[in-house]
Amino acid sequence: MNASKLDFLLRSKLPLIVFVIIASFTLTYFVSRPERDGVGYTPDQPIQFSHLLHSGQMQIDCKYCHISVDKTRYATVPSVSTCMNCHSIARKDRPQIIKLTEYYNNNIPLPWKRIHKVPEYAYFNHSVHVNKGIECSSCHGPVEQMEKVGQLNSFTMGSCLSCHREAHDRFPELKNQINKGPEYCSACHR
Amino acid sequence: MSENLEKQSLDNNPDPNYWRSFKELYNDKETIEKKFHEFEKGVTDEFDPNENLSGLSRRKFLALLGASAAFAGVACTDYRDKGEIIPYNIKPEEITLGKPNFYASTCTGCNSNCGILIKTREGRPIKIDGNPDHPVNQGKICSKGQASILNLYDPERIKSPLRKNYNVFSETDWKSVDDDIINVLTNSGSKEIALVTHKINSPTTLKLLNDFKNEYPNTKIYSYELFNDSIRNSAWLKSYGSGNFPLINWNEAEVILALESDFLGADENRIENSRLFAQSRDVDSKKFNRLYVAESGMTLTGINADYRLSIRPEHQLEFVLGLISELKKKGVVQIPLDFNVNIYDLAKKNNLDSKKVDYLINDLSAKKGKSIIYAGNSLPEDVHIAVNLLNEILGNSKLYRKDSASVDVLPISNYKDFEELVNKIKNNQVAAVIHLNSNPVYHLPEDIGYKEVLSKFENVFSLSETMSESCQISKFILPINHNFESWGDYKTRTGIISLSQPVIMPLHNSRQLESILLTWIKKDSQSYSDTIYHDYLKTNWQENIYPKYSTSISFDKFWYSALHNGFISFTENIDSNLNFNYGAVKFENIQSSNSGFTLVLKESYSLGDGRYANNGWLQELPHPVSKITWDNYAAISHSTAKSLGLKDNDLIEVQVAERKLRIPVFVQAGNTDNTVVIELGYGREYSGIVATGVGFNANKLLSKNSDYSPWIYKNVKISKIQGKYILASTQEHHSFDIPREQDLHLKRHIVVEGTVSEYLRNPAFIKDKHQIEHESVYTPFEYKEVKWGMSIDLNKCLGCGDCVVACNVENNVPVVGKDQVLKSREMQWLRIDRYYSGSPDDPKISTQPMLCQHCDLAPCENVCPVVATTHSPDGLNQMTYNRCVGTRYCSNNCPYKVRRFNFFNYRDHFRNGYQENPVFALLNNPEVTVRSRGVMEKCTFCVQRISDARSEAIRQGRKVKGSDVKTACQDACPTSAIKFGDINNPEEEFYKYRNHELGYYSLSELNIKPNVTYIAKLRNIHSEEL
Amino acid sequence: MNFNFEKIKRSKFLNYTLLTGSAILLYKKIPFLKSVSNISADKIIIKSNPLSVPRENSGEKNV
Repeated sequence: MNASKLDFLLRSKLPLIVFVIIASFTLTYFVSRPERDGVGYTPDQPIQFSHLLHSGQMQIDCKYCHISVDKTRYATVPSVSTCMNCHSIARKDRPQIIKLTEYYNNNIPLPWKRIHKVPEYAYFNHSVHVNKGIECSSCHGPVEQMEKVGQLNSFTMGSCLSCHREAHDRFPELKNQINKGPEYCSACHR
Repeated sequence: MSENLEKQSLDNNPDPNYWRSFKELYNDKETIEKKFHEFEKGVTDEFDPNENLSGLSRRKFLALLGASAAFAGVACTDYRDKGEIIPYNIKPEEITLGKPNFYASTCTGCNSNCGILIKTREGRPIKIDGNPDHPVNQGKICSKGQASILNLYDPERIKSPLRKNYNVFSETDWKSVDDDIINVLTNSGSKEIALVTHKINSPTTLKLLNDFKNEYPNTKIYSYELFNDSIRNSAWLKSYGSGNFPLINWNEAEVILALESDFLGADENRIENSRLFAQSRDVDSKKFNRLYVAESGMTLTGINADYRLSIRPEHQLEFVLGLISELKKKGVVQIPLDFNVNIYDLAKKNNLDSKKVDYLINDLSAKKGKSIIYAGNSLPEDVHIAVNLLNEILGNSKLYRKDSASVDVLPISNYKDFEELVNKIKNNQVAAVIHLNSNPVYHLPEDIGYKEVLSKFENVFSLSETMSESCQISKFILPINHNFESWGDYKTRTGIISLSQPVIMPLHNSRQLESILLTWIKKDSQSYSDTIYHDYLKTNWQENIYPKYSTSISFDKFWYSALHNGFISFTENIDSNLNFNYGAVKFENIQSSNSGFTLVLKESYSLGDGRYANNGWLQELPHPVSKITWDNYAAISHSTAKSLGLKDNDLIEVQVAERKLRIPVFVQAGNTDNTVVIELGYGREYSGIVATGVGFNANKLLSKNSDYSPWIYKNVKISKIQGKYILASTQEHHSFDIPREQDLHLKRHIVVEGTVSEYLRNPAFIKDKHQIEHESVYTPFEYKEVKWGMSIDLNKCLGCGDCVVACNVENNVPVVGKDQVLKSREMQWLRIDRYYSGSPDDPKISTQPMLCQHCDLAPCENVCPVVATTHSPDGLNQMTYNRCVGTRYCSNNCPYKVRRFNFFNYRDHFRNGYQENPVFALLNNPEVTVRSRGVMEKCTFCVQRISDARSEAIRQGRKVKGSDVKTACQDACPTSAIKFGDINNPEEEFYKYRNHELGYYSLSELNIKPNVTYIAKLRNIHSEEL
Repeated sequence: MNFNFEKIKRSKFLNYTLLTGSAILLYKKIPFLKSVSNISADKIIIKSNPLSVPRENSGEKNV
């Protein structure tokens, strides 16, 4: 190869290639992060339920609707009949409520878009965390301030483990109630 | 010209001149020509670089490739979409998502009708456990009960009524079928309406049938059971004048003699029998009974015998009378006898060990009034009468239970009644034959002619859950509800009526059998509603049962509490008039003659009378003795096989009178010579994809007349025929002939055994013989909190296999099929190993449940390249399925070989994806991962139950205790041989088993520190040496 | 090393991008999975019988 070609290669091509590689890795890392840890996912829901209104302004407790969160593994999305407890009368002329009542009366399943999901091979247990005094907002964020619920924290195994390992740092007020969370596999992976 | 060329070449050659041949040197034209072509002629003739090119250049192709890859990648769906989450519209009040509900009900797998608790999750039943309050089974249920849940979700259940047109079944609706049948019934005139059913145990169903009879006066009920205790009961009637054969207090017997009786195994009431029997084989109270078994084939009871005598069934009468004669000779009993049989002559003639006979006689004499002799259901009446006599004169009638006895709601019919039915059909005197959840075409002996006559008879209606042989010849097939979708009541004991309630609305368009009958009684197909039988049952209880039950609470409260508990119990007087009728003692033909073999037909341990043939878990449950899955076989003894030149898997033809059966042979150590033992319940046809074609239908050998008993035939001929049939066994024989392999399990300390006398003399004898403490390379981990461990008491373990099926149900273990079992790929996490020692004619059998030992220094954990298996701080060996790549190094390293690998996605692989059917998926336990291809699995000590117990403990604000957790196998074991708990807690019951003086670890010299303690089996024999 | 880079016309580039982009967006709308799922065959309705009586959930019982 002659000198001018080598010069072109080293001064122009090589930095360009290196830049392209680094740029694509960085871009992929950041673009794929939401897929990897789900942060920021805020989908539209079939009924525009507002936690800001219900949990924030009206201060309805989380457990009024998400009933089994302190009894079983699942937090559960409330059944439509829970909504109809109030909304059979309250604001029943509003279009969203009419839509809701239609679901209820015609027995159509109400397909909420799922936001927080831990993979199926990990058996997360809500009641253990709730019964130890950990607030809902520690993982789900300030839901009572969310018009539309979105995922705030990363739900990768690494983030679960980091909280388990730094439990006393993250929850200094619960220092006497909680130990470090389990780090062994079968706590979640059965 | 060539000269010129030559000259030219010589002149024009460069310096130096290289030539490869003379031809080249002299510039032969052809050779020069060849130099310009790289290849010989013909080699590249078809190669034209420009010929087969597509219009696409390489560059364009690569560009397209890249573009389509990018396209595909981007076109993937929204990767952040996590699907939907759909709540109930109206949540049923009793359901808390994630928490199971329990419903008390009754099992209808056999005629014991044990009480069960059905565990449901979100409205789906997923597990059956025994009802702890029920007095008969007290919290335990057998393997058939455990696996019966699979029958609820059977993808081959009949989903809607079927009508036969020109030999093809087509779906139809209830109204048309009901109308047609009501039409036939109302126009029956004076012709008989035959209802064929299994034994009726339900008082309300009986009342319903009586109402049916009132409506259709020519109705006749034919009930039958392939295996029944009618001979035993008729002998009792002759001996004592009234009542049924009593229940036995096995726990008070110090000597038990079982004659051709599998009371711990396939014979009925085995849950109660096992529990009571195991109560007096207790290392804690140092109470040991002695079990003598005199039988022809090796059975589960024979495995657990202290002394076993191998005797042909036709000599049993002589044997019993010999015992009586000998006892009289010794002065132990004083009664006038008109027979005198020398038992030692019998022993000599039949190669029985006379020493064992001595021991037996001495024990019976010494333990007068504290022993029991029990004859099996298949023996003829005179043997039963002789046994009743023997028990009476020894004073063993003290062991007959006076608090409870078995009752028959309706006595069963016999073969004569069926013969009459067949004749009536031939003579056109029958309007309709209705099969009520029964399968007489398969079960009845062929010489009654039932199948032939009914195949030509038009009005055959079958009410059944699945297709069967009887359904195949029917005109209408009506699907009925499974037991878990049905209401019912059952009375099989005095003082107890069990209830069954549905836990799920019918999955398919089926109806409860009794509701269908009610519609026909009302003669109106529109009168059906979901609740008609519920109302009928409730009304019957209100009118007939509640008034007799002395209580002050209202009927509704009574009804709800009965449903809640699953049963009601009350005092009912038993006719305990035990005056033996010595006039019945008249024995003819004491010596039996037999010109050939004896054929013994037994009930299958796992399939019952064949009704569970379509149940994959039960087909794959290994036979307790032979460990064969998926087939039945003809078991013959070692010497018989040698004399006939037969080996395992050879085909033979068994001939009884005119009836023949082709079946493979299995050489069973311990069987009597010249005897063939075959299990019934196999060889099903039209019964579903799992059942059809499995095994051999030995019902062909049954006859309405037998020269001995309905299940035992003499003068049988065996002949070898061409061909082999490979039987799939999960465990091979041990070779009795190779000295190196003999007693391998004892030499290698896999199983450690002793005798009662040695234990009583020196309680620490196990520790003296075996414990070797080694040092370890690893620093020991300190288990400060709960550390889980298990102990299995081999004195109580019978080897029945209930724990195996319970584990299968709890942990979603797939069925793999016979071809995979042949490759040793069965997926059961828990297995019962069975070892032989001694001689092939009189072997000693040891059984040992083997599961993951959760070793502290587990050899599997070190070698996983991806760290998919690790150890938890509470002592469990954890398996992380999503990390496993399928190296199988862990299984390679496991000395107990308890790790099972998913070579296929067995759910998709078995019988064309039978287990992938969506109905089947409802059965899965949602707390346990359903494993796919390529991952290793093993026993997890029910980690899902441990996690739930921890979660519950946290909810209650306390620490988790060892006694909070009961593993599935522990729950299921009828003798409570398995104990589980925290080894660090000295206050628990488990602690004393963990540190028991008889406790040992299997293969302890490997120093891998397993956590399953086996309590050594002690045989109650006279010597200290085994 | 080829130092002659062929230039593509701007209009051609825009055309190609537009077409590919719209093709991708339309392709994402095609419901491929619906054709292979037999939803009607899967429908089994699970309902518990309102007349049956469950046992109370005693908190101590190991589930």
